[in-house]
Amino acid sequence: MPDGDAPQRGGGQVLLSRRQILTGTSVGIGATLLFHQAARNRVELPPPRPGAPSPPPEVAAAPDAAPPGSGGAATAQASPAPDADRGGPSAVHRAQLSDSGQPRAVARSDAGVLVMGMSADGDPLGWLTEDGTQWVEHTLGTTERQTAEVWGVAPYAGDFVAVGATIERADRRIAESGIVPGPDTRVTFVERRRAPTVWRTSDCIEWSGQSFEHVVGPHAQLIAVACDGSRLVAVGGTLDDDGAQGVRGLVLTSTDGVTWRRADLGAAGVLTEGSFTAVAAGVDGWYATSVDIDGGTVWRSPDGWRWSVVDRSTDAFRGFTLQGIGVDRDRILVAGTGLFDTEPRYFVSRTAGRTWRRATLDVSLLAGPDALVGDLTVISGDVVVVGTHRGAPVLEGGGLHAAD
Amino acid sequence: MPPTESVYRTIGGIPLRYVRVSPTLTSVYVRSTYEFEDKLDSFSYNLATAVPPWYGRLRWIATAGAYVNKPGYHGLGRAFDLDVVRWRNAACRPIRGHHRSQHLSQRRRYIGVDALARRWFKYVLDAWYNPAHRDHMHFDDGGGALVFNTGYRSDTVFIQRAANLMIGAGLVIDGLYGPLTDAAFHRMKNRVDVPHRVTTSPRVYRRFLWRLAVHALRNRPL
Repeated sequence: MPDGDAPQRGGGQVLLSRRQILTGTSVGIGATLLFHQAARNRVELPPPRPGAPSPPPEVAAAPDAAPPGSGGAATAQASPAPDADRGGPSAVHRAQLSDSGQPRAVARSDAGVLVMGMSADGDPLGWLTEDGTQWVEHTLGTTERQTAEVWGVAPYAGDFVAVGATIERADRRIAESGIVPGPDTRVTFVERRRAPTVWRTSDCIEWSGQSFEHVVGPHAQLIAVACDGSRLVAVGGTLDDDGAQGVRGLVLTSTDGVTWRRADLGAAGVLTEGSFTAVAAGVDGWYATSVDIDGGTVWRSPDGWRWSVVDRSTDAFRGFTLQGIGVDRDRILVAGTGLFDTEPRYFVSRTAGRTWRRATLDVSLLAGPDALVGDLTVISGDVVVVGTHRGAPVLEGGGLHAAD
Repeated sequence: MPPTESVYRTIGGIPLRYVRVSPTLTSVYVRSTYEFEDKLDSFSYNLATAVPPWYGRLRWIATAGAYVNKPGYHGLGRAFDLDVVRWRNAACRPIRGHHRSQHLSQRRRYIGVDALARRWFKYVLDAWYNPAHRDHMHFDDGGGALVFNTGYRSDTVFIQRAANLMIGAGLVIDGLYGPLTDAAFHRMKNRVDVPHRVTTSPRVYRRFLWRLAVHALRNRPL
């Protein structure tokens, strides 16, 4: 990587200096992060299949009935359903994004569909498709002393808004014997600061970042973000003294993408070893999920500002972690994982979160013991989930059916 | 490495249980990296071998979970929450608040389990670290090398509490490593014949933790 200050474009790559990358997280508001475009055309979505089956009417909402801010027609192409012949579930959309990495969130804006996640090396990574057939991979350069984690993404005013944290840590090297430092030394470190951060981009190459260390103390992070067309709500949590584990939920709201206010969660905001994990906008308000030591909880807010726990949801999801939430007209959908088996679980509520039913999703890869789900969202009436199948990052979408 | 490369229901051959949903023991699956599973196996082996014979066989370990697909070491498959350790004739129950039990033996047993965990996991968050951990211990292997770090609140509150229970130091459990804590730590190291290089030598620190645990699990002061 050259040391010049100006980004260099050539051969489909944007080359950045380490100084430029560092700039993004070192000065707070107005900082800039630049993603490195690492690969192109790694994987293609399967081509459209003429006459692909439509989701059942009660499962998929019409595109024009999608909640505000959820975008227009889905970009991912209708794909063949390879499991249909053997009677398994059939995904409407499916893409294997690359060979490795962990997808964490997915969103659609005018720029295309963006999946945010983490590379196998732990660096922030984005997969972007503009036409639903070609995915372009962008990795974010980090340094040993300052790193970034990106967890959530949402469309906002034609751009993407992503959320996560920037992290500073202090390292020192330790020899096993404690006497002779040498090649067998290991690093021990103290995390000095974890600042919740919001990034914005129009092209997934150049990102402007905004950190909030002065708002929430030395250790905090954002995990998910959603937009209802006019308001952004980002959720996450604050961490304990050593920056090791979550202690409270954190909600920030904004109406302009620049000025953010922290919502007051009161005593209910205490989340032992937990945080908020997902947020979605619905026609009648906002919904979010949290996890703590006892399991998952669903939250509701009329305006993104005042939040309360949905009655009985804590009991419904005891022993579960919840990774994603979506709203499809009058249905609330969540993805979770229980302690008692190894499969992703999907749930649906038609009672504003008060009662929940098990559900099945029309996916073949992101189901079963080899799958891990990172996020669930609703894009133009389709339920879209991202995660890994046998370690490979995958996006799948289809209809979600309540189980009998 | 994938955070969920290993899925298992035992650690070191000891069954894992879940006791938070109902009093009935329930089997659970735990996911983590292979490397973290190895550390849990070693911890389980220590739990079985560091105790006096009257404890009996190590029967099961209750956990509140390990893998969570979100930020943090639980999301990296490198963390574990401990609720109960059950031997045939004894138990350590963080979920029942054994750290503040009226019985000194149970309070020392808690310190003994805590010390054994620190031999394998850099971050052990216990009941004195913050209110969130009054009903379980959290282990993870973030933080790097296994040395005592005076800058960690999690390390300091453990040593302060251990000094109070094992040598009657009378320290305030405030997580601040000052001269009184340092002096008490020195006395403890001297009494178990361990050099003072616990902040620079993982080997020395692990030796100290083992000897502390052996005394604590036998309800014997240093």
